[in-house]
Amino acid sequence: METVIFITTAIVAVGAALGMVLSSNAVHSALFLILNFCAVAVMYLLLRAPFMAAVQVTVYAGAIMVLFLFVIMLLGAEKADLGSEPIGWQKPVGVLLGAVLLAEGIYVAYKGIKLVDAPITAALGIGQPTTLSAVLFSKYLLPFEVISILLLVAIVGTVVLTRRTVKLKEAE
Amino acid sequence: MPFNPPSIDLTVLGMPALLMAWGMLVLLIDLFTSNQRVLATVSLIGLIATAGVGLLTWGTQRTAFFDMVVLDNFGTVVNWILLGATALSILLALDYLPRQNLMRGEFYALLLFATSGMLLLVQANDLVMIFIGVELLSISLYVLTGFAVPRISSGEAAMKYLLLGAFAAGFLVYGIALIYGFVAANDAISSTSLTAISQDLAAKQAAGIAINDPIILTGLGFVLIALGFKVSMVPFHAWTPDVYEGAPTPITAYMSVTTKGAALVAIIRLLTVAFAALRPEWQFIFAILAALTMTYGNIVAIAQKNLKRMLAYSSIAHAGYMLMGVLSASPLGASAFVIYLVAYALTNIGAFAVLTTLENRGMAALELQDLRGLYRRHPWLSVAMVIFMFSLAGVPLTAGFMGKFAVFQAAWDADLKWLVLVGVLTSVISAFFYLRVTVQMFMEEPVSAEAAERPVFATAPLVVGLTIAVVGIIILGVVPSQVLNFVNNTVVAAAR
Amino acid sequence: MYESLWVMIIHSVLLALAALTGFAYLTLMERKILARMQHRVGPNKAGPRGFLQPLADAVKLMFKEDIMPADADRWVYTLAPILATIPAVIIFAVIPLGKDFVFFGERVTLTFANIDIGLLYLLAVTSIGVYGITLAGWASNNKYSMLGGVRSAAQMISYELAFGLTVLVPVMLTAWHNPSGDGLGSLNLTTMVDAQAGTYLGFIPRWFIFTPTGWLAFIVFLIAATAEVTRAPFDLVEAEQELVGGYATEYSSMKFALFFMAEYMKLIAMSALAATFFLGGWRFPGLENIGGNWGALISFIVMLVKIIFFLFLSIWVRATFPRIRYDRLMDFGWKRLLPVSLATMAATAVFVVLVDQL
Repeated sequence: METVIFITTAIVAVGAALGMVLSSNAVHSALFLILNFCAVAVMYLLLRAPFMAAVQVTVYAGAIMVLFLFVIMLLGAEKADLGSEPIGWQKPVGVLLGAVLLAEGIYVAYKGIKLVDAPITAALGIGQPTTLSAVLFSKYLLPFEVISILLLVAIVGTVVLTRRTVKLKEAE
Repeated sequence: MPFNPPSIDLTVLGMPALLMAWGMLVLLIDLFTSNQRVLATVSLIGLIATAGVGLLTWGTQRTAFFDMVVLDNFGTVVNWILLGATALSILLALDYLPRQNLMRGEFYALLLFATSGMLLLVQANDLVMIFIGVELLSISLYVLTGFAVPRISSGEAAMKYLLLGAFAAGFLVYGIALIYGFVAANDAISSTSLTAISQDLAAKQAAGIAINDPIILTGLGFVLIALGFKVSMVPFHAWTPDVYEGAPTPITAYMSVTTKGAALVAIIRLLTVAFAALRPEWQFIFAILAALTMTYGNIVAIAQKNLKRMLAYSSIAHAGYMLMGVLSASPLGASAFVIYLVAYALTNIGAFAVLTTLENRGMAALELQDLRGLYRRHPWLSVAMVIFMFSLAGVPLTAGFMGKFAVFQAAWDADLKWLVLVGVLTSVISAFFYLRVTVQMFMEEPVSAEAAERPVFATAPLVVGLTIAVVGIIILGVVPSQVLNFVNNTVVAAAR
Repeated sequence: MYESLWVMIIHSVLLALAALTGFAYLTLMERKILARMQHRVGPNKAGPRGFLQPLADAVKLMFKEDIMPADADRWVYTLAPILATIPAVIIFAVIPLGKDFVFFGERVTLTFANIDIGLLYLLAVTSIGVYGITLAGWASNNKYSMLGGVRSAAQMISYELAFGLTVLVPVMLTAWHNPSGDGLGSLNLTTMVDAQAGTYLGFIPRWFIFTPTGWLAFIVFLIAATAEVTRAPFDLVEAEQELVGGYATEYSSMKFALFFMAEYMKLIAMSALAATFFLGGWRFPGLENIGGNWGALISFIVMLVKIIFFLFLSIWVRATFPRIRYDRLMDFGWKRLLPVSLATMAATAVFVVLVDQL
C-alpha cells in the first residue's frame, strides 16, 4: 500500500516539477509548483512526519504561492517573453549544474544508510507535533526565540522600504 | 514526551540580549519622538551599556543553551570592537541622515539589531546560531543599504545585496544540512554544535573512519562560501563594490568593518573548534583564497576613480589580510586578527567619515578628483585623511602597520612564508593608490572654481568621531605595547 | 482504534453526501429566513412549503449550458471550481461530530480523522481554499472577475492571520484541563472537545466560551470566519454593484454551482468549528454521559443543533448588516482584529500559566 502511494506521489512530484519548468505560462508554472509541494507533503506523511506535511502545505502551498500568484497576476507577467536570454551560457551551465546535483543526490542516496547513526525509533517520532515542540522548546529554544527578532527586523524593514513611496508622493 | 526547558543563562547571552532589547526600545521611542538626536543618544547609551555588560561578565568562560552560545574573553573583545564601530557609525550618520533627507527613526533600531546579530554570530557555538546571526545582520543590512531608496543606486545596491545574500544563505543552510547528516546525533548537546562536531570527528578518527569524507568536505565548503561571501573574500566578492557604492556612506563604513569582523570570528571558531581535525584539508585552499583576495582587491582598486569603490576594493584586500590571521589557526593568529580588526575599524570608519563630511545632498559618491585641493578648503580634514590613508597602506607608526605586522608574523609562524611574501608585495602595490589620494588633496588644484567652494560638513559628532579614530590610530601605532599585551593575553588565554 | 477499510470508504462517501444535502437545505433555510426577516414569503412552490426547492435548483443548474469564454485559460478555468470545492469538503474530516456508533460489531466514528495535527490540517486546507476563487478570477480573462479574484485572495489572506491566531486560544485552553492530565495543549480537535467536558459549579458547562479569554476569542473567531467564507457583511468578492458577479461572473451551469456549494459548505464547516472550539462540540452537560448508540445519536443531534444555531446567526447577520467598504475591510482586519486576536492569545497564555501555578 505504502509503496503504491509512494510511487504515485513520486510520479506526480516529478511530473509537476517538469511541468513547472517547461510550461511557458507563469501561472501554470506556479500551479505545477503547488502540486509539487502537495506531493512532497504526502511524502512527509509517508515518512511519518505529519507536522512537516501540514506546515509544508500551509506555508509553501498556502501562503507563499498565493503571494507568488498574486504578483504574477497583478503584474500581468504570466506571458513573459523568454525568447532572448541576456546571458547566453546560462542554460547549458544550468543543465550541467543540475546534472551535478543529480549525481550528488545519487551519491548521497547510495551512501545514505551510513549517513546517520541514530536509531530509527528516534527518527520516527520526529514529525509528531509533541516531539517537535519538545525539541524546539528545549534544545533549540534560543534559535527559536532569536528568530522572532529576525522576523521583527524583516517586518520593520518591509515597512521602512515601502512607506517611503507614500511619503514621496505627499512631498510632490 | 519528556520536556526539559533549558536553564536561561543570561550571563552568557548578556551582550546580544541587552542589545536586542535596546533595539526594541529605540523602535518604541521612535513612536513618540522623531528627534534624531534623542534616538541616536539612546542608541549610543545602549551600545555603552552593552559594552558594560561585557565588563561585568569578563573572565567568565562557559557555554549555554545546550552549547549554542559561548562566552569567552576573545568574543567579548571582538564584541567591544563591533560596538565601538557601531557607535562611530552612529556619529557619522547623525548629521548625514538629515542632510540627505533620510530621517527615519528605524535607522538606529535596525543598526542595533544588525549589531546584535553580529554579537550573536561572534558568540555562536552552533551552526544554527551562526545561520541565525548571519541572517539577522544581513536582513538588517539589506534594509539599511536601501535606506536611501529614492536614489536609484541605493535601491540597486539593496537588491543586489539581497539576491546574492539569499543565494549565500542557501549555501549556508545546505552546508549545515550536510554536516548535520554526517555528524552522529548527540543527546546532551545540539548535534550541530561546534563542540559536538569536533567530538564526533575525533571519535571517528579514533575509530579509524576516514573523516575527509566528500559529504563533510562539501558541507564545510558550503558554509565557508556563505561566510566568505559576508567577508567579501575573492571569488565571492562581486557584490562588494556595488553595494558599498550605493549604500548610505555611514552604512558603508559600518558594514565594511563589522560584517567582516563578525563573520571572520565565526570562521575562526568553525575552523579551530569544530574542524581542527581537517586542518590539512582547508588550510592550503584558504591560503590561496587569501592570497587571491589581497592581490585582486589591491590591483583592481588602482583602476577606480570613485572613492567609495576604491575603498570597497581596498576593503576586499583588507579582508585578505585578516584571513591570513584567521587561517593561521593559532592563538597568535587570532590575536593578530583582533589587532588588525581594531586598526581596520578605526581607519576605515575614519576614511568614510571624511567622505561623509564631503558628501552633499543628493550626491551618491565622491570621485577621486573631488578631493583636489581639499588641503586649502579644510586643512585638518585632509591631515586626518592622510593619516587614514597611511594607516590603510600600513605605513609604520600607524595602527595599520601594527595590524599587518601581527598577521604577517602569525602567518610566518604557521609556516605560510609564501603567503607573507604575497602580503608584503600587495601592500606595496596598495601604497600607490592610497598615496594617490594624498597627492590629490595636497598637490592638485580643484577641478573648478565651483568645486573649490563646496561646503565641508564637519559637524560636531563627525569631528568627535574623526578625533577618536585619529587618536586611536596614533596610539595603536606609536605606543602599541599595552594594547598588544592585552589582546595577546586575553585571546591566548581564551584559546586555552 | 481505526475503522476497517470498507467502513471508512462508505463513511467518507456518506459524509460527503451529508455535506451536500446540508448545503442544499442551507440555501433553502437561508432564503426562507431572509424572506421572513424582510416580510416576504420566500420559495413556496416546489413541493410542500417549498421543500423541494433545492432539488429544483439543482436540476435547473445541471441542464444549463456550460459556457467557456473564448479567451479563457481552458485548463485553469475548469480547475478553479474543483479547487474551490475540494477544500470545503475535506475540512469535515477532522471535525468531531459526535460519539462513536457501533453497528454489527463495526465501529463507526463520527470523527472521521482523529489526528494529532487536526488544527494544522485545518489551517492548511483553508489556506488552499484561496486558490479556487483567485484562479477563477484570473482564468476568466475578464476585468471584473480578476478584480473579484484578487480582492478575495487579499481578504482571505488578511483574515487568515486573525483566524489562525484565535484558534490557538482553544489549543492553549486545552492545556488547562487536558483529559490526559499531562498539562499540554493539543492540536487534536477530539482532545479539545474532551477538555470541555464537565461543568463549573454544577451548572455552567466548561466550554471554552465561558473562560476569561475564550469569549473574546470566540467573537474574533466568528468575525474572522465570516470573512474567511466571504459571507455578508464581508462578501466584497461578489459585490454585484461594483463587480457584476465577482470571480464567478463568467461561470455558468454546474461550474457556477460548485462555487456556490463551496461557499456554503465552508460556512457549515466554520459553524461546526465554532461549536467545536468554543461551545464544547457535541458535549452538553447531562447528555454526554449517555452510552451506546442512543448516546451517539444524541451527541450528534446536539452538535447539529449548535451548527444550525451558528448558521442562523450568519443568516441573521446577512439580513442585518450592510456590506463593508473594501478599504474599511482591510483596515478592520489588519488594524483592529489582528491586534485584538494577538492580545487575546497573549492573555490566554498568561492565564493558562497562572492557573497552572495556582
